[in-house]
Amino acid sequence: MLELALLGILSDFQFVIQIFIMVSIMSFVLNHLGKGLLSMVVILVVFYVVFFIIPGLSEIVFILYSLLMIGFSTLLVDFFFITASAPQQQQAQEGEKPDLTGNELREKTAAMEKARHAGHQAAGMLQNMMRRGR
Amino acid sequence: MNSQGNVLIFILIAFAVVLLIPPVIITIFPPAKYLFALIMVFMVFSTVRAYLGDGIPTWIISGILIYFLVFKYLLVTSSLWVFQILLGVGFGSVIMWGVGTRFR
Repeated sequence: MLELALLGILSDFQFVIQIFIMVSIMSFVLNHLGKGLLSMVVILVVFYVVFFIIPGLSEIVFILYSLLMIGFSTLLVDFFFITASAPQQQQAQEGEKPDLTGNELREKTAAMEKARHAGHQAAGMLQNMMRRGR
Repeated sequence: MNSQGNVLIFILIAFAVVLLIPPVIITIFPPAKYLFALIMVFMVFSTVRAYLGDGIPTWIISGILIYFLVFKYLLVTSSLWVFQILLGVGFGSVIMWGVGTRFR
């Protein structure tokens, strides 16, 4: 049922697109050649080519032309700007490291504690030596 | 999925939301259907008249298009019309920018 409805919609819109193509061709030829026998012949030849030789291609090209005319290309430009900047921002966020990580801070504190302890020991030994020297 | 795929999905969702504006308006406020239909009729007729000028073919082709686009598929046509209007005034770029800010 859904497939039938969908196919119905598709065929109807295909028909509508063909009417729009037909109107576009008539307008184009009449604008260039004016009303007359020659323009009627040209219109019929173009109709034959568009609707009988390359029907699918002409519909696709007309849809693309319509999308580009209403500004779809600006959407594509915006999209590629956004998606191009997203990985760079991700890399930049990954590349930014803090000046001191937790492990480094812990190691540095332990080393300072050890040095302070060693300093106390050295000072104690020096005091003992000085006392013995007296 | 990588960030490009996420951006694409969010952009598609945003545009689907934009496309759903006319059906939602018509559902909430049913008389809006007649307003959309009137606008569509004027739009179709003026488009065809711009192509073919005044004459019998304009009336015939307008009638065919109005039957399909206004009476048969009003929701689809009004959604596409709103989408076209928003694209024309550059609202698509705003949506892209808005979605892009979510990934910074």
